Amino acid sequence: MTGPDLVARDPRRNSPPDADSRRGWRRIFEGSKGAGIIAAAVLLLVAFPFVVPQPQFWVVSIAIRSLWLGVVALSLIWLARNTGMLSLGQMTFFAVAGYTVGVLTTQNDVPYVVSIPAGILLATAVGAVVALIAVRTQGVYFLMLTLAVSQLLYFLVLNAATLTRGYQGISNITRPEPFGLSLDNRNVFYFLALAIAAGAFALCWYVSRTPFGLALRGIRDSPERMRALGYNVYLYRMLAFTFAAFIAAVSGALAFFYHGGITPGAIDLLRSIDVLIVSVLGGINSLWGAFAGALGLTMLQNFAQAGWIPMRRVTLTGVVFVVVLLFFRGGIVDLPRQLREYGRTGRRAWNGWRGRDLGGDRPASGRDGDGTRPERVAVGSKLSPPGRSGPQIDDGTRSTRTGER
Amino acid sequence: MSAPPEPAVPASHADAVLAIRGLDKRFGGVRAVADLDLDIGHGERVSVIGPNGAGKSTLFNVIAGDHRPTGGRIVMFGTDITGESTRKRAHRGLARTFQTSKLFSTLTVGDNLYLALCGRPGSVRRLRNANRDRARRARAAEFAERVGLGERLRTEVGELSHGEQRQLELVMALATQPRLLMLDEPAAGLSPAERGGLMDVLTSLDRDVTLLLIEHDMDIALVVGERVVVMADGEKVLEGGPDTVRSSDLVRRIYLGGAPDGR
Repeated sequence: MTGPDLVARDPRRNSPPDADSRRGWRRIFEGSKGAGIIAAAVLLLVAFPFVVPQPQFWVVSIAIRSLWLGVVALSLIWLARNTGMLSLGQMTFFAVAGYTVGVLTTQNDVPYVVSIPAGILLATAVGAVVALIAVRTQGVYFLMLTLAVSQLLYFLVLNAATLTRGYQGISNITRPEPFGLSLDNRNVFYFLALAIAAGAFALCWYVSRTPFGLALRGIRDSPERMRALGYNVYLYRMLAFTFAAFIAAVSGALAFFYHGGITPGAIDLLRSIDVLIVSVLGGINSLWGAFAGALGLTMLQNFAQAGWIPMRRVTLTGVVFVVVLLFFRGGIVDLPRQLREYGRTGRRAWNGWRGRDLGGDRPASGRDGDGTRPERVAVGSKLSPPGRSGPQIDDGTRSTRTGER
Repeated sequence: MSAPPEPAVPASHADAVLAIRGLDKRFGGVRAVADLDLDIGHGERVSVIGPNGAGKSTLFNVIAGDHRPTGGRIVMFGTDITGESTRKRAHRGLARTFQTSKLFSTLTVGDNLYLALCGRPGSVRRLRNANRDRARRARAAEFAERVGLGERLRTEVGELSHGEQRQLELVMALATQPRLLMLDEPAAGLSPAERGGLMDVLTSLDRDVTLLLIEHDMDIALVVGERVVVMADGEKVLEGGPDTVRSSDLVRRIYLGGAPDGR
C-alpha cells in the first residue's frame, strides 16, 4: 500500500527531466515562442491612439497614465522579484526627479536638456543613499523604512515652500518640443511614454538575465551561500535598489510632463500605496504585471470617478486589493491559469460532494481508507488560492497541483 | 573533559593551510567552541566527528567567517584572517557546504552552478547576457555531469530530491576551484548508492585541495579522513589517525554510552 502511494505523492518524479518550469501565460510572454503575440501587442499599442473612440483625449490620457504608473510599478516588481525586497518608497525617487526638473526649469530657467538628466541622476543618487541603510533591513522593516522615507520627502516638499511652492506645487510649465513635436499633443506624448515604458521594460528584463541579475536572485534565495561563494551581498543589494530608484525616477520625469507639473498630492501616502496595489493587481510575479495592473487601476479609478461604479475611489481600490489578495494572488497576468485552477478545484469539490451524497464510502476515488483522499478533497473544497504566495516574493512557478490527476 | 590520551599529530607548519590557535566562540552563556587548536597541512584530509551539539558546525562557521570568534586566531594560507569577511575568505580559496541546504531553490541547476563559477572577482562581465556566456555554461554542465545531474540543468533546484540537492551542494563548492574545501555532513540523508557516489568524488579529489569534513557517518569520516578530530562540548578531545579513533574507548563512550552512569 505505501509503496505506490509514495511514488504517486511525489509529483517531481513524474515530470520530464528538463521540463521548463514556466507555464501558461508567463511562458508565452517570456519565451521566444511568443513572438507572434508580442507582434500583435505592439501593433495594438501603436494603432491605439488612432482607433480609440471619442472623447479621444480622455482615453489616450488613461493609456499614458497607465504607462508612467506602470513604470513605477515596474521598478517595484523588478526589485521584489529579483531581490525579495518589497519597497513602498518608489514614489520618493519619482518625486525627486519630478521636483528637480520643475525647480530647475520652471523656476531657474535651466533648459530641459540639462534638468531632465539632472533630475533622474539626483533621484538615482538619493536612491543610492537610501539604499545604504535600507538594504541592511529586511521584510517588514524594509517596508516601513522605505515608506518612512517617502513620507519624509512628502513633508519636506510640503514645508520647503520657497523651493517647491508648498502645497500649490509647480505648475504652468511649458512642455518641451523634441524634434519640433509638441508634447502638448496627447498622441505625441503617448508615443513618447510608450517608447520610455518599452525601454524601461527592456532594460529591467535584460538586467534580470545578466550574471548580475542572477546573482540578485541567488541572494534572494540564500544570502549566506552567496557570501560563501565570494559575492558582496550588500553591494549587490545596494546596486539593485539604486537601479530600481533610477527606473522610478524616469517615470517621475515622464509624469511631470504628463501632469504639466507636480504637487505634493501626487506623491502622498495614497500614491505610494497605489504603486503597491498596481503591482499586486497586475501580478507581482511578472514584469508585465506592472502595466496590466496600472491599466487596471487607472480604469477602475476613472470609472469610479466618472460615477459608473457607485463606490468611492479609495474604497473601490481597497476592495479590489483585498479581492486580489484573497483570491487571485497571481494578479491579472496570471488570471487565465488561476481561473482554470479554480475550475478544476471546483469540479473536484463538486464531484467529491456528489460522490459522498450517493454512497458515502463508495471507492470512487480509486483508493480509500488510507487517509489521504479526504484530506485532498478538503483542500480542494476550501477553494484555496492557487499557487501563489502573494507579496512574499517567490518565483511563483511552483503551482500547488494538489492531487491533480 | 579529560586530556587526550595520545599526543596530537602536528601538521608541518611550512605548508599549513589552516592554523587555528585558542579559538573560542560563545553564544551568550554557551561556549560552543572552547580554546581549540587545529593545524591542517596542504592536501590533508581531516575529519571532524563528535555528537550533536559538540560545536562542529560552529567551528565551520567561524572558520568560514559567518561567525566572529570571541577569542583566538585563525591563520589561513599564511595570513591572519580572524577579522576578515566571508567573501574575502572565499576569494582566498575557501569553499564550504552547509549542513542544511542553502541552495538557490528557485533557480535551475545550471544557474546554481553558474553562480558558483562567477563568485570570484575577475573576468566575469556582470552585465552581459548570462545565457550567452558559453564557456562558463559549458563548465557548469561539466560539474553537473560529475554528480549525474547533467540531464537536469534546466530543472529548478527546489524540485530535486534531497540526495540530488546534497550532491549539487558538493559540486557547487568544487566549482569554485577551492584550495580548502569544508564539507558539513555531505552524506546526511543520502541513499547507499548516493553515498557510494559521494565517496568516489571525495576519494578522487585533487591532492591540491585540502579537505575538512564534518561527518556522522563513520564509514566516510574514517575512510576519507586521514586524520580525525573528535569534538565534544566545544573542545577537541582526541586527534589521531582513523585507527586510533576506532579503537578509542573515549570515542566509544561519547558516541555509544553517553555519560558513564549509563544515561
